[in-house]
Amino acid sequence: MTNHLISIRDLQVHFPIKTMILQRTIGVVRAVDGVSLDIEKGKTLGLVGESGCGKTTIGRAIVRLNDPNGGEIRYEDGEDILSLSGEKLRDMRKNIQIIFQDPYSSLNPRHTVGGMLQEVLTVQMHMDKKQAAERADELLRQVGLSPIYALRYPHEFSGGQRQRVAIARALALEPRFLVCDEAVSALDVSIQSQIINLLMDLKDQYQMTYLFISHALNVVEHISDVVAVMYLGKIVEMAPTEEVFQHPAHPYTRALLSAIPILSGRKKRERIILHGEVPSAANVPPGCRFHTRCPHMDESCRESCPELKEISPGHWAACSKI
Amino acid sequence: MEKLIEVKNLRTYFNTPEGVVRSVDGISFEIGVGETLALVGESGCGKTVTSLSLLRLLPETAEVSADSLDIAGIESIDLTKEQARAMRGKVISMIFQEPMTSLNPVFKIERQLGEVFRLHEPGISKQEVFKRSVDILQRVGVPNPAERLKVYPHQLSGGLRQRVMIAISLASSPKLLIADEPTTALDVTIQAQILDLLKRLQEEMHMSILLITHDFGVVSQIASRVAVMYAGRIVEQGMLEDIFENPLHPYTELLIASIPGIKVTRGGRLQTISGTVPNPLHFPEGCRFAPRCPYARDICSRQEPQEIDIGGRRVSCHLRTEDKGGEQA
Repeated sequence: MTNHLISIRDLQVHFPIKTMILQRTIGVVRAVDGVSLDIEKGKTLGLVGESGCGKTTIGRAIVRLNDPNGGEIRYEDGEDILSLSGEKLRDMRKNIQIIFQDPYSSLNPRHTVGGMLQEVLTVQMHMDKKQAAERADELLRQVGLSPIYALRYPHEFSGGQRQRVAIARALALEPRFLVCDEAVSALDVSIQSQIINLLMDLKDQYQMTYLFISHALNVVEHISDVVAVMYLGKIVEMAPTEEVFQHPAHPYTRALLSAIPILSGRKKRERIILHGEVPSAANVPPGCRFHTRCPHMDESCRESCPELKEISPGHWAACSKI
Repeated sequence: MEKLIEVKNLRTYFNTPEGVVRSVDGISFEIGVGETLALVGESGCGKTVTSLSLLRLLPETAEVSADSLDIAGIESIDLTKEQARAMRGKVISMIFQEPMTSLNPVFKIERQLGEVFRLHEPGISKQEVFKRSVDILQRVGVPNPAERLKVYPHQLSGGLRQRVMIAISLASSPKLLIADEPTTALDVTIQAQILDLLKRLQEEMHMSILLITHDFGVVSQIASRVAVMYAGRIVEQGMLEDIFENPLHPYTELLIASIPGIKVTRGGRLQTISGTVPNPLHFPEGCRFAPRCPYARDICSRQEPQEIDIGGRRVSCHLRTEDKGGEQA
């Protein structure tokens, strides 16, 4: 019996590129191309990478917001989430919730916050109206909002408060796993810290497990137990947080970390400035995907795509030079 | 250091149906020649309005006043629209956060970049415009500049678009570049490239930069001096290291402590600032930060703190006034 809440094996999500009128498929975007990872119960996995690397696509695949082309995602070693449908899928969704980056567009502007929460509670949790109203108040309190706010509409809230509402809505189903897709990226720093603290409190109180997707490396370092670095649809490095930040092995991770601004109290890091842009996922370079921008590239990198290998206990990296 | 910009007591108010919004309410700062000043603060604190006031790019409802608004030796507070337009580009130019929305999607890069040369130098030949366009694109690190001139903005990546924006704003060799969140929309590795480019160009062209951002990380990489804004006021300004190592104003202190990875160890509790930013229609009496300040005393909610100078740093806080020996205005 493993201690994994979520196990992903060889996940592939491809999006077809179609022509305008005839809708012929003329190519595929390999957004996620063979990703395997495990998330332990009660832990936070930080998923980092640049835009377009496929991190959000993985998060959405777990909550079944897109249809993967291959692979499997297991919840508590049970059935493959990807094969569920109907009643079973609806039950599974109670366990797995997602919060999005933009709290402005993920809340319905025409429902009061209380109404929104009560709808979830009556439909999904089969509560009656009175119970639902009580539970809604409790949820608001849990995320640090006063229950009087239940009567207000989303536009009456600030960005940080809206993100709290979105978290309350996700918590209404008492999930055990929460996908946080850039959940704090749109917020001001002082508000961002409130939400990070809230997420960490919830983890302590309810043994929540998180997939924390973000491009903000300092936030990921702060909140995660394990960090996975993605590049062009593949994981290039994965290790416990401290290991990744202290001893990054993959050249991409090193460049990414060297781009973190150095603030006071930290020793100066050597800056590695990568040249060029991220290649398009519709036109993935052959061999190692990173070879077009890698400072240590040689001929062999163009030919074969390196697999993840364990370079020290728990530390995985995909580079033929290691 | 020779001063390029000297702003004294700048106020920008907006007349709205609900009342007067005091977006910028009496701020003073200087920018030296070749210096980078970062204006830092959270959304709505007035940092962007400050930069638009310098450029005179505000709507009719705005009222700008100042004791002095000295831009490169010219008193600019009473400039006419035409004079202000002549100043934009030649003296000050600006790059924005989102390079997609600040480039015109229906014109090729060639036309948008060439326009700058034609406007500032009427009668310039076509060949000359093309030559200069290729030149400037090369300087900002756009590969194959001659080909890139023939494409539309949507055909470029985010990083390249921002480079083109920088090329457009530098084409007229301004003395001051205002960079409003120049890297916020970009990926980390691209962000590093752009900041590096700005630093290099600044040295080559001997230009000053006013950097507007909420990101202390970006500030630490490029700025030499920092001014922290809160609710339309500059609460503290000084050298970058001093501000980071030893913030004097409680707001600066809390703001820095709320960023993961600076003062707090991994997994620890982050500092938060209770309450919310005050409504600019009704700022609180006394110090505007007092309702959220953990160190606030009686005097803070009664009297506005005066800006005082502590070893080259300027701070507006009653706690510091008392430290200095009780001098109060």
